[in-house]
Amino acid sequence: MSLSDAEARRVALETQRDDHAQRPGLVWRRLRRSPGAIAGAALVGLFVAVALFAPVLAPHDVSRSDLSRVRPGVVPGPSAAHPLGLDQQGRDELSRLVYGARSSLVIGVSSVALGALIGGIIGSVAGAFGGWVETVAMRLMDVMLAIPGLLFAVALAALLGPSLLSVMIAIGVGGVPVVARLLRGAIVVEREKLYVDAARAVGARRWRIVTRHILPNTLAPVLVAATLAIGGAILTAAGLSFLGLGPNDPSIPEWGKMLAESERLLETSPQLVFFPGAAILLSVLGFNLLSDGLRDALDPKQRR
Amino acid sequence: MKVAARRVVQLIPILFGLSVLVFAWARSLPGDPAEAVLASGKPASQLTVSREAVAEVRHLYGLDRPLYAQYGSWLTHVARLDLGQSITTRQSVSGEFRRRFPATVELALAGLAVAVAVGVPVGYIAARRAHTWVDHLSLGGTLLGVSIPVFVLAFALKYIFSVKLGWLPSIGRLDVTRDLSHPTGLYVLDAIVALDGAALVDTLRHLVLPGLALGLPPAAFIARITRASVLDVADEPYVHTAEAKGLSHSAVGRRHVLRNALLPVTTVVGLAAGFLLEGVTLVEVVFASGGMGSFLFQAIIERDYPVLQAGILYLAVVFVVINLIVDILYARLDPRAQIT
Repeated sequence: MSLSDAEARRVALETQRDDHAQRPGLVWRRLRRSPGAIAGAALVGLFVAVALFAPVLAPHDVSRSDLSRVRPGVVPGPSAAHPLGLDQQGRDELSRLVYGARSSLVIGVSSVALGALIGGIIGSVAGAFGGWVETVAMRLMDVMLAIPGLLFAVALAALLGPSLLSVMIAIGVGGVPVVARLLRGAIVVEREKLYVDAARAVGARRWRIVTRHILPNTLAPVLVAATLAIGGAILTAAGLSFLGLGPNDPSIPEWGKMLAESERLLETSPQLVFFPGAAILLSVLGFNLLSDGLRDALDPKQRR
Repeated sequence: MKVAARRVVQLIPILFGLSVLVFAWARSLPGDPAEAVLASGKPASQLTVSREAVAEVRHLYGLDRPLYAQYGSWLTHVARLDLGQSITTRQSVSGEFRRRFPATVELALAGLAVAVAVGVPVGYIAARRAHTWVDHLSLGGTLLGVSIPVFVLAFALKYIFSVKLGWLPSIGRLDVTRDLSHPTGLYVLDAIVALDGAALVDTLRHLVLPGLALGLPPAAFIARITRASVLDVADEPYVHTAEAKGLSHSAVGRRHVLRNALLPVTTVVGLAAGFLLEGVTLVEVVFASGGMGSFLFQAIIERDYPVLQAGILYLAVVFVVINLIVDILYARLDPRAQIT
């Protein structure tokens, strides 16, 4: 999904309209009053907690399979020892779901961090220097955006081989042009403002103006976009694994992979498809709600 | 027309960059293509190939020439729509694409129809009844829609309407026992051309679930944009004027609000195109619809890189062209649109 320059500039403008409205205390108070943001934060909190405390929460070993209880077409459902039943290879479904949260969190956060870092550097350099540097950098971003996100990730993951790290890189690099365009758009708006003239008047260098004065003022739209992007990264990662390009290691449970592996059992054991499906849905929903809440809290005028 | 011409010219560096990117990608994939050619079709025990044979194949395929020369000859082949052959099936890739592309187009159009037909009315109604339970309900629905992975939605629809209720078929594009000649490959069109009512109903029934799975997530996206856009427009002075001169609420809505609110929605359809191209791959895998998507999936599983390379290039070009059309359309609809 691409943001056009005009759109990026609009987003930047709208989240920047009222500098006073962005005081952390005010933002925090508004965030706490929004039911959507609270629900989102709760879902994200739950997701992060499950990922962090997976070894404590998982009742069984994720790799140990009890093949004696699984026959073709017969997968035991929930029981006292296995609250969500077993998967098609006789492994505890709940434990695998819990550890799957780890994979998703690691992929989501690190890929967005990677994309934000590289995209942030490209976007700020383009915005700071302008001229041909800006033109070349932005045209390069256009080329990357010409490939639909999932296909871009498919291409990179095929190149890097099936591992957690390559999924992270594939999705992270895909996010580079989005961040670069967003940040450059915001910088283009900011660099016309009075405080930039003031900084220039006292003799600050161009790069210092960008890093010390402009970038802190563009954090709001980047924060909103990053929260949204974590949800998007989890979705793309699930799609990649579903297409067989996820982490290959069977001891790393991943929701998209779990879904793909039990796809054939949709008719007899639909829970094996819908448990990981619900896990993906709820975690992405959490990040989307939180991102909406943040956007509204950072710019109350936008709120309807 | 000037805008259109400028847009087309701007496309050239993007397409050039795209071709370099895809070529570079294909050349850096793991494994020597020459060894792959020699090894294909042999059992794993005979996988040792002599150095001379490798050198010979490298020369035969021009792999020993400098990179820019290889890129040049690759590009001329691609421009002539000669996309090489699949490593696994030995079939020409472009022939296979031509056979499968209509299925994907048909599904993508069905998805687009669902996205617009559901997204625009939902967004419009939500905005006109802003802050009522209708609005909240649609907000919840759109949030779910943008958060659910397409293939999970596809499995849910398949499970409910096909496995449990048995209302609709779960795989394929047509009942296997049905005989329909398909000159265009778009089965809906073919059935209409053949005046075969039963086949038309059958193929439409096969299209319902994949179309919904593919179309509902972008519908949620379109609904959100439509709602915001309608609310923006509803505050414009000309809307207040229309209300002041006594037009009914619905007449103001239809004639003044909706028309102007739909402008930004056209650009979103361009964004939805990206979503549809991604989603179609996943949905085709779930419903085994035999289009480009399931072909690419096969290529991923079998590491059939020529197919993957051609498929990614092909879909990226389609995506770029769709966005071009949307841009030009937007300039037509809104003379104020300044395209730089």
